[in-house]
Amino acid sequence: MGRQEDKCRLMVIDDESIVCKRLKQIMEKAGFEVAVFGDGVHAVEELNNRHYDIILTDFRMDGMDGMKVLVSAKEKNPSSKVIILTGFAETEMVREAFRKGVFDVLSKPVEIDTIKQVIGRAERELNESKSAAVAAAGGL
Amino acid sequence: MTKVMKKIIVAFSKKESTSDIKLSLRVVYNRFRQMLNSNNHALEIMSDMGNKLGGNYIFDINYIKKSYSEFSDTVFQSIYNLNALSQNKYLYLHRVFERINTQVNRILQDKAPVDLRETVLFYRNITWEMSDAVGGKNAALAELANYLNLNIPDGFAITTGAFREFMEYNHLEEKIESLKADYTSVSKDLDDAFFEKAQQLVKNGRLPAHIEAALDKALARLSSGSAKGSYVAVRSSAEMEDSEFSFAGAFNTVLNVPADITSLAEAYKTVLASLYSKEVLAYQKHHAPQSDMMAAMSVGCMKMVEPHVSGVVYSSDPDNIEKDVVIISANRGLCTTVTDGTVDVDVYIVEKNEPYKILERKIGKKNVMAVCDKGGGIKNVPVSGVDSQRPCLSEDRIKAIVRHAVIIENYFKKPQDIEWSVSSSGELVFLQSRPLKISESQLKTHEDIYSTLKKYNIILENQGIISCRGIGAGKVFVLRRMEDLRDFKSGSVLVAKHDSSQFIKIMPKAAAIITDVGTPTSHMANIAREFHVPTIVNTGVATSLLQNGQEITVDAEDNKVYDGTIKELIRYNITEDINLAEEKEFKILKKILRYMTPLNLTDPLSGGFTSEGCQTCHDILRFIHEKGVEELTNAGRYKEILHDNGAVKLDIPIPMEICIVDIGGGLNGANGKAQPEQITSIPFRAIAEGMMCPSVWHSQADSISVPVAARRYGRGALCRSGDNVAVVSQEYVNLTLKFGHNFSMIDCYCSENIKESHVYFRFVGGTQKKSQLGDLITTVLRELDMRVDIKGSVIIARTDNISRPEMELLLNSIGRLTAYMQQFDTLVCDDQLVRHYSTSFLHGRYHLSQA
Repeated sequence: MGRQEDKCRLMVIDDESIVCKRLKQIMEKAGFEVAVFGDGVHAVEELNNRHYDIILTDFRMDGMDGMKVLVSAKEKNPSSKVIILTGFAETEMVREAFRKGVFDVLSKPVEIDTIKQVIGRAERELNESKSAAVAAAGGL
Repeated sequence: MTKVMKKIIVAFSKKESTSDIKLSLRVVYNRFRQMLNSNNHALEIMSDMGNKLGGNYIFDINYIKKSYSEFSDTVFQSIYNLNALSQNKYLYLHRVFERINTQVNRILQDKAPVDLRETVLFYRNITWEMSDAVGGKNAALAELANYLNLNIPDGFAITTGAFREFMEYNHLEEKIESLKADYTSVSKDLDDAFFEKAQQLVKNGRLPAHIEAALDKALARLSSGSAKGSYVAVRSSAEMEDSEFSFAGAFNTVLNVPADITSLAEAYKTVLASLYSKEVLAYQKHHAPQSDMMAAMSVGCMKMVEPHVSGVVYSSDPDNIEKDVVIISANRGLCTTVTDGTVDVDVYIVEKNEPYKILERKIGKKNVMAVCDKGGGIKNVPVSGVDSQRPCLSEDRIKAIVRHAVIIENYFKKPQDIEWSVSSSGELVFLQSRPLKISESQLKTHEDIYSTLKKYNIILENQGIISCRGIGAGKVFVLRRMEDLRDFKSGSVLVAKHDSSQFIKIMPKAAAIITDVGTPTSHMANIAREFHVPTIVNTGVATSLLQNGQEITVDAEDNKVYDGTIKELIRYNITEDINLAEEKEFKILKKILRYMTPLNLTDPLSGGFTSEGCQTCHDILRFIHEKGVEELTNAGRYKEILHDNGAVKLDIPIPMEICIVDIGGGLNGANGKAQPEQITSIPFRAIAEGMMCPSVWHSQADSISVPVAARRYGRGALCRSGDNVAVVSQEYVNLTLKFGHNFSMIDCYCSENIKESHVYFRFVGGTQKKSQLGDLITTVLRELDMRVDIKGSVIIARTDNISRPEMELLLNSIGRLTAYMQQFDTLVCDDQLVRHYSTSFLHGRYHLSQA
């Protein structure tokens, strides 16, 4: 214990509770701190209160869709990694998401290993940029 | 009108194929290809959906809906294609499919399927997929008997279908709804008076005549074995009872009911009425506000056991699940005094592992016991004197109960709360098994499993593919020979070289399965998913790395195998609030798959192999395939085929004449005659190569030259043109051979895609010696790993899902067998020689001599 603060913080947003429930279980077991939200509006509100390293969001949701979540999240913290999960990957949507800085787009149903790999990759990038920042600070 | 119905109407109105137009073989073949394509696409979606049950994917209800919609369109297309091929012989299939489709769509809309036609199902006939019809409690009880061979009382379930009919027949839903409206208009809450009235409405209902008749018949069957006037126990088994909802005690149980229809009907209605109680309504509101499935109740009716002793066993300690103990509570007489907690009963705490050491005995005063009352019902009677103070279980009995509790827990993969009895004849009988309610303190541990697991030693990591997610621990059982399976102990981890569907025998007992070579699409993987056995396949090294008897923990979630038993991981698994099997999406998928995947039509020769006989989509697809092949191979068309399609004679150096009809890419530039090198049909070339294997013809019976055979069997027996015909394309062959009075047919589609491939072999014997030749063929084909069915003198063998190289090898062997068969048939021999020749053949020795 005592390493809670070292944990990578992951936010999962999906209006299908099974997706939230399962990702929470799987990613907690993989050592992440996980918070889940059933809609984009509440999730984005939460982003005002806390910082999340990685945000995994569904695309089609009532109220606020994944693209809006992406934009808000990036506004609030450009370094956070946003991954979009979608059941209907349309090229135009994917292209737009990448323009707006999405880390990756995954189509549902998605293999758990794939999700873990992508999240792992995002975590590594975060760590690399953190240590680069530390090194840069140390070099001054 | 549904989408499918609209399509049917369109299909029916199409006039393009009417029976008076003969289709050319090429058109037939093209339609056959289309049919195969749609069939295979449907099978692929089906297997894709089946794989999702293994838990390796994140999916939601939209995936299920989308996949099923695509599947349903594809099956429709297949039916359409078969009708195009057969000139509308099988239009009825549309209706069969529509029936299945309706059920599936109901499930997708979260409604109960309406096709549960059986009123009564005897426990021995209940399988896991019937839990909708018989409820959780009945299904679990049947599983104890049917998968674990434990004693349960003889009995039957009165289905949820019967319940629905009863409710409809008496208009009870409407009546209770209007009663509810009356009450809620006055006060907000439904009070006791409402529930009393609602229950009375149910109790006053009348059973529809055919249900009454079915119950009467079932009672007669139940009491036929017993000498004295018999009694039954009538217990609730609501659809969701004992699954994620614990209704413990909410529903009525009526014990010691005289086994006559009047008493049973009363007891049945009393149990049904208990659906209308405050507790149940609260549950329903909380857990499934929109669902109407909740309201369905099945009832179990079983022979009353008048026990000497009975009680409850917890397969784990609900307050400390990491402690390896089993807890038994027991009293003399019926179990009611133990379950209602009013009597000071015996409690035994016993070690979970052999030799089941008894750690603690608390002998209760047991001053009351419950017994069956004369004429029905039960009563409590006082017990005094020494008897009441004596332990009511012997040490041997305690150990037997513990051993069984552990077996049951291993099977259900979760701690169980089990009700048992010891009958007056000393037999241990199980009355109920349900998930044990774990205490809150155990559920809220806030343990950081990720950090905890770091300190344990990993033996295998990411070295295989997860076929079924889950966590299991136990001693390793390395399977060396298939016959050793019978030594497999409950709770062990099976470690084997290959996947095998034979593992179904030990599946109910296995804590986990690991194989060296295998695939998540194998039949075994499907079975593992049905039984929820954590399974990792294709590790490459498991049998060489793991030792017999070694304790391991298999984490088939993170694809890791740990050395030793990791209690934290097991507890994590038990207390984790997500249980895939209980999740709505998994349940819906599993229910839908029941209408999709089981295959009932396996024998094309049986009377049930008809459109009407199709119960599932897989049956429909199987039927379509068989009938499509039949259309293509329709024997009556050969003359026409030969005349109209420019048959080519195969010029091969063996005493058999074969005519080839090429329907696309099967021959290279042949004109009138074809040399073996000109065969470009992959499957036909493999067969022909086998047939031409020189040693096969170097037997003593090689005097079977064409003229000799012709003399023996009548003019032209072997070579009459049109008797031996191969219809070929690049990936397909249908070869019909007639020799003597025997007829054989090989149909094979040999695709790059394993799932599309099939080999089908049919032999119809016509001579006196058919049985010997039949035995030889059967033995050889079975050795070649084909599934063989025998019906009289007809042998049917099939293989599918095999790779192209494997298939070519198989076809080569079949080619050799075909040549061998023809010579063998001229011999007279006995059974011993048949065995000798089969073995010789399989070892590549083809010498035949007259016995």
